[in-house]
Amino acid sequence: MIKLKGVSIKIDGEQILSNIDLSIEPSDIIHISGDNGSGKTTLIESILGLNNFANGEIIKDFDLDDYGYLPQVSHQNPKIYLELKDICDTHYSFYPESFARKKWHLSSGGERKKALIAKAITESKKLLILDEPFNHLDRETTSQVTQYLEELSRKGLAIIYIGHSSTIAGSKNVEVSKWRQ
Amino acid sequence: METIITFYWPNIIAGILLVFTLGLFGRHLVGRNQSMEIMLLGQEFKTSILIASILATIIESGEHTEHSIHLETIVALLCVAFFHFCYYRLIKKRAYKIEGAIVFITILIALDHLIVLFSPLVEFHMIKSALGDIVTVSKVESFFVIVSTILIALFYNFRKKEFNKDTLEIALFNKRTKKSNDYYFFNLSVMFLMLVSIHLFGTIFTVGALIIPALITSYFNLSTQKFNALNCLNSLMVIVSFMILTLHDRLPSTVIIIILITITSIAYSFMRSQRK
Repeated sequence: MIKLKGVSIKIDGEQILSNIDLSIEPSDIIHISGDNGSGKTTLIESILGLNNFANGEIIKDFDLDDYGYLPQVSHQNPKIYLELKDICDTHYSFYPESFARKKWHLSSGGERKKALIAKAITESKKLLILDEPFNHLDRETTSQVTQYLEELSRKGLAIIYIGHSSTIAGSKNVEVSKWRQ
Repeated sequence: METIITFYWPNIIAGILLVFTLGLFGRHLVGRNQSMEIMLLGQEFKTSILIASILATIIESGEHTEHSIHLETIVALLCVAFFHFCYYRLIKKRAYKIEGAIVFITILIALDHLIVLFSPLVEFHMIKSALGDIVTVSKVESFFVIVSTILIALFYNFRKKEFNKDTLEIALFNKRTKKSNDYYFFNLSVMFLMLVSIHLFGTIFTVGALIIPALITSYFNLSTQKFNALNCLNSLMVIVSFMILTLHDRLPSTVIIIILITITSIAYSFMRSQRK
């Protein structure tokens, strides 16, 4: 589904990562790990075509409607009115219907995260990418989300997640530092 | 009052539709943290109109009508594109977008005054591009505004789900998760609206109608439904401004509209927020 061959990533003339060889197939669960600032998010966004930093061969077998992506959340107080149902109105065990009318500015970090994970899952048909999905989540919710993702993976969904620890069973760990110069 | 409406009804309808349509897009621009960029675009249009006016006085012989859409408009648009391209190329670090816009605006205002110093004939254009005047807009221009705003509003209604998605993602993540063409259609619609609006009604009207209602309702955490209701109310302020002009015809029409929009937005938002 995704194949990277000899890919390098350069930002403002500085080589961040080089000689990246990576292959991701349906049902794969890939855990991308590395130090802060090592290029994990940049690598993911290069694969998705959200930046122009990558050189080399990237072969993709999905288009815009096939993937769901949860980036790191940067704005906790957006300048628009939001209820959690505006983010996602499809419900899961970790994101029940009772959340629907909660207002964003009155929700906790964990509640917001649940809505955003639900959004990414709803949008994903072939591929799901989650950047630091388990931050702000309590243990029970982490367990619910993890179980749900494992089930989705068994059904053929490829999952890539960035985190500092491998939380999902059966995930292949990819350490970004091996591609740093 | 009846005579005013009989004579100025195309101007009134054009004003109502423009306030409404600018408001629709303004909500997204505020959500996308682009208020400062809109301020910059407004100033870019102002300066570009001045540059185009100077070129027109050099190139064209004889008089030309004030508002006719011709070479001046195309030159102004090219200048805006150039200024904004320079802004994006020079201010690459996202953290400095706002300060960068402030620097650019300051330089462009200085450039305005330099241009007027060298060619006092265009001072009139500088005031016109800032203030505009709904009363002096011709019937042809009014009908052009009516048709274009209806088309753009229909287009907005057709794509609003995609626009909402992009706005939500930019508001939360500072980026979109999918690069679709809707982002560019949105920006093109905004640019076109701004071009038409600034050309006829001035920068203060355009930037004010885009940003003020959206910013105030956002501050008071009002829902989209309440914003839409306010947007309709604000559109009717065009009629109120004409009523005021019948009493004091020397007042600048577009400034009256913006003051009314601001007062209405604050009063409405405050009252609705107290009712929760």
